[in-house]
Amino acid sequence: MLLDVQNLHVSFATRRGKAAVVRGVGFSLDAGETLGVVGESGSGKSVTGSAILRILPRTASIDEGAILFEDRDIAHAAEKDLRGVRGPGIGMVFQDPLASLNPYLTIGTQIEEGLRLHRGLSRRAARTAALAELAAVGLPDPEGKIDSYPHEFSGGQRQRIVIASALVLRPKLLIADEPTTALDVTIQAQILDLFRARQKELGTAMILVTHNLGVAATLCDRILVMYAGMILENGPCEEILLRPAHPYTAALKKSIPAGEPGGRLFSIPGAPPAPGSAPEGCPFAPRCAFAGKGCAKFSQLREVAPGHATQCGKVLAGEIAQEVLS
Amino acid sequence: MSAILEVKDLFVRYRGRGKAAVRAVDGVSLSLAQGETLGLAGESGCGKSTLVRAIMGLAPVHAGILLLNGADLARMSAKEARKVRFALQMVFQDPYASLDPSMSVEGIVAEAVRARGGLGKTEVAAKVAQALEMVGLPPDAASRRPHEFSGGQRQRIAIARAVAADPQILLADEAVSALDVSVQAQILNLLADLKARRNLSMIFVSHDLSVIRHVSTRMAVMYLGKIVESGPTEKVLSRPFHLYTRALLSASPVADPVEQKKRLRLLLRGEPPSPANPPPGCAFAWRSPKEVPASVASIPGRFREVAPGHFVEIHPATVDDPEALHAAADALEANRKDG
Repeated sequence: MLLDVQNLHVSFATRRGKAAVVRGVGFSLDAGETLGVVGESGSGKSVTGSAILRILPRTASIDEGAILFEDRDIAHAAEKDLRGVRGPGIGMVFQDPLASLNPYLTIGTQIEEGLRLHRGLSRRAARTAALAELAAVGLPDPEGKIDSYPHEFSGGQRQRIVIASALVLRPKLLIADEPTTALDVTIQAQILDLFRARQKELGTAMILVTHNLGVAATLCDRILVMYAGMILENGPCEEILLRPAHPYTAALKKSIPAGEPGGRLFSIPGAPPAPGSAPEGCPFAPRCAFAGKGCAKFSQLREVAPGHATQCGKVLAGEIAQEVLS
Repeated sequence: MSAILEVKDLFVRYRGRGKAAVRAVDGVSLSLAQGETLGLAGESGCGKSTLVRAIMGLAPVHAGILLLNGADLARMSAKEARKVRFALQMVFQDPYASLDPSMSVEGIVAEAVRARGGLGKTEVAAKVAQALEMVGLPPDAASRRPHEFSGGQRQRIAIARAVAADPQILLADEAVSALDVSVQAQILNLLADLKARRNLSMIFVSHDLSVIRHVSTRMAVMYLGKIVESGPTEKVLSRPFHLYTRALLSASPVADPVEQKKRLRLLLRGEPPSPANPPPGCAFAWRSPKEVPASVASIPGRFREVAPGHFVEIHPATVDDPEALHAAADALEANRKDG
């Protein structure tokens, strides 16, 4: 097991006190595996990714839980002990590539810096490795472009550069938070292909945080569905998307326009709870078509099929047939 | 079917400092029938947003004709155009940026109603209340400010502002793109209801083909300032001729891993060229999966009707079989002449 997250709780300090945004999240990831963390805005999916990287904003804190990366708990590790983890252990790619690139340094300098610091490479060896990685991520003319600055590239090319600077250190795990959301679909398709090809070659595991079920379907082996800071469902990609075992997952999928044109779309009534104000029990219950009395009490995630777990008490009790949700 | 809006050979150019003009919209023609929803698809920089902005009078028209109910907006004085443009209302992508944070919801919607003029205080208030009710906002929303609402609710406010002015045409520019999928479905349903109740015509700009398929009966695909394919939405999306339309379709991921693995992947080369410096001839040739020699690429394609109402830019780099499509277009033309 590469990563084991146990009972993670993260909260933000607000004027009105603490707002819990991640509430008891637990999952594990094997080497080389791709895990999708899907959910809507405010579900806690990005905060979960940031917590694993320990790059939470100052106002946030990990209140409880463990994050075991290669059997070492990094949830409360000191900043100096994280240096060997962030980068060479866990790489990161965000939605906005400019957020991870320094506008004042050439892309070559930035990629080589990591190699020299973490891998102890000489200047020349670092340059060779950087050029090879830029070529591997499909940046046209790496030799001619390595001394250019981030603003000289398009959005898609910048994302390739960010991916190169993460993968050049050969991390065991890559956390990618909405990495293609800001890109056009044809560029998104290129970047998704790139992730797949590089992962296949390097065996890197990945946590893909995304709101887009189609993107998750393209890359993921497993999917976690998050809502109001909790995991509602966790299972193999095909199971989650084709045979969901939670009314929320089913509703989310049904909301995507796909049926006959012009018809009425299925829509979930209401809106997700604001951070810190989720109800007791199942957080989706107030919007759920199947909700009943029992939903006021939160059920633990339990398996409905091998490797496929749901939090929905009604599905677990056999009160909702899974065919109704598919 | 009479056209409520007709755009003919529209050009929009932005001047850069000392640089070549950016040809944001480069000779676009389209028409919108009463009660129709036209989908406008394409990637960033293709000119789809600039096109609707030009129709709204928010982008500089370099040349072309913009007929609204038969009157040419491009040739009117600014004052005259302002009077008739109330028939056009717009909903923008970002509900966080498009609403004045210092105004109450009531104030925001009332401003749009008053701008039309000719209404007394009580009439304005009645129209505002009616608009808020129509978009499904709670009665107490009127006195609150935009920041108190979620993204979906804000988009309802923006829609209330647009419909309160009694438009004939609603221009929606990526109006659901910033919303979560569950909220997106609510807003798409709302727009469909309003369209039916108010007999609206709509131009719906979106990069998302599944949304375009859902809302529109006719669609156009733009690439680098030009329409490269247009026609009945079902025809264009089920049997696209242009390789760009096919690439867009194959690049749009579906939430079904089995289907997703089976799908034919048509990847384009590189990235779209810049509208400030468009390549000569066929702008798509440089990205087409079908490589053609530079001498062929530099010859422009021809935009022709190849099946009733279905138009496509025909060029060796844009379609599978240009000869067959030219023959189909010739036959259609001959048929029309005889008939």
